[in-house]
Amino acid sequence: MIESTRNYFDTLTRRSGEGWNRFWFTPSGAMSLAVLRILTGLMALWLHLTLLPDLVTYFGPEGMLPVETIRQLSSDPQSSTPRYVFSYLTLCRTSDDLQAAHAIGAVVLVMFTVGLFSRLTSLLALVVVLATIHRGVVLTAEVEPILTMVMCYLCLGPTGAHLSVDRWLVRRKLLKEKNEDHAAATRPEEGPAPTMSAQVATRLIQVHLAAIYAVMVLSKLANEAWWDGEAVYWLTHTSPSALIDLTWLYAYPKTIDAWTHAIVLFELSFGLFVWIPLARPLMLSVAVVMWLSLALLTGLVPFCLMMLVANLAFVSPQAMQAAVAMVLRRGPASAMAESRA
Amino acid sequence: MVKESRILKSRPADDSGSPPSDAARSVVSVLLVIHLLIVFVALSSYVSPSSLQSRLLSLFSLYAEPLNLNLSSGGRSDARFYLTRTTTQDFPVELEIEVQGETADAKVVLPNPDRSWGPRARREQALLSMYARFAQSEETAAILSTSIGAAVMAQHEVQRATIVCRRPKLRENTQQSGFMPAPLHDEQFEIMQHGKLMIILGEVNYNPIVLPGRESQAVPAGKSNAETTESEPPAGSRSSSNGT
Repeated sequence: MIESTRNYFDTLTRRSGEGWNRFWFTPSGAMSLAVLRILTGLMALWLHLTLLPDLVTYFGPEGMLPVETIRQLSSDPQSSTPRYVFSYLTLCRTSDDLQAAHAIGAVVLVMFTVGLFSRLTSLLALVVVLATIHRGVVLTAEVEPILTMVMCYLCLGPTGAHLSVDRWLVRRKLLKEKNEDHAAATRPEEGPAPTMSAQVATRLIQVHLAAIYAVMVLSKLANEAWWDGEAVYWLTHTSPSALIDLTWLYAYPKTIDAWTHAIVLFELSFGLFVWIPLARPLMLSVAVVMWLSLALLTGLVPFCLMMLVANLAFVSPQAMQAAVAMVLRRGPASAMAESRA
Repeated sequence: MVKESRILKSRPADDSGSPPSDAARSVVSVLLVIHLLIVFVALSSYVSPSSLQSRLLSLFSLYAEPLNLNLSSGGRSDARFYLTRTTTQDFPVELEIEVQGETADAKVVLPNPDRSWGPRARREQALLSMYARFAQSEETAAILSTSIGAAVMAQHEVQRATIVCRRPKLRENTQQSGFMPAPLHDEQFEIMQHGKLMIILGEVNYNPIVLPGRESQAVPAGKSNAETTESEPPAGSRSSSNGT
């Protein structure tokens, strides 16, 4: 009895260890991370540039959100630890300083997006985004936590290994040194060998995103309207940014019920079934429909787009290579064959 | 200890590249476990944190706060991952700032009606949502109102302003019991509990300023002072907007 118990725990620990190592440390390609870098960078740049017209209105010397106000809002009487987080934007005393700092931040985000000095600019881009968030934390909503989550993990992986200026510079250098065929040297799908850091970064995004899905659905299920099917009706009436007027749906209560339950079912099942390789394409396809419909319904376009971008972390590097090759007008079959080889 | 070392030292099943050393994997594994624990605490505290979760959040705040791991930023963000809670808090808040100058009066309405969607509109909505949240308490109502009011007053170069914070009412559901949201264009508004304030910028020499319904108060120069007045129903519907 004791022997069998010991064997059981030995097997359990051994297999758990193997599973853990396989999950986190199997080297993988970085094409998915590269695509994530580009799309996340574009999203960060969009948010950054749209703040420019209101920058002085919010953060200027006579702005709506002086540093002292943010400090007051951040003070937690129940905690001895100050919750206020430093932002370099607090050092800007004049409007010109503020705009200059913002412009430098935009340059950093552009460099991150195009993959120039990727290792450094991924860190700097994260600092830029976090500094903006902490300076005006009361201006933040749903998109910022998803954006910073993805950017944070992108710092860990080789995001500049593909589709980047860094990669182009390396190829150009190699071309000069070895005098190789130009067409062969500029193949987008050829990149460095799979790495452990790419796997860790990808897995962290996946795990964190699945946990966020769980939080989303649990926070919904805490409210009765998501159980009795009324939530979509409320959203049609209370979303000031809704892209289309769906208040007429009130005449079709079954449609409202079905839409409400579909949202809950999708978020509930995504975190579970996305880990099953066979179900993953289906979940990702449903995710596209669901997030686009939510964008129409709620008007939370940046958030819904960012969720779609983050979902790309579940696309394998091989599939992403094929997709990139297809986009770059190469045959997907040949790209798949090359990636398999 | 033996079991733990076994977990960390077992090699990946299909490692195609050069495998990392056991020591490196062990260190990374420990860091991953710690990070994921903090992520779990931060995310699970989103809805309604228990006292244990609050303590753990406070403990991990030096790591979680700078990285923005906490979804609601400690209640200072308008992150509505639940999308709706079927309460009046779902409604977009409207802020009407009436500035009184020597030459002319002006009225500013937030959010700017020209911005219907996108990051700029969402930022305004988040700010106003925070305003409404803080306006629920007398202790915190003045924090945002003074800074927003002061900014608008500085923009119009005036010394006095009245801020009214309001949002659409719930209407009674005629088909079922309970309440339902009225369409936004129904123009039935309610003023929030501490949502009506008068802000008066101090004169140069600490002149006492008499506020409506209150005793005289000294206001330091260059500072703003906010006092709540009794809530009154708004006369009429939505006003015309100048925007900011």
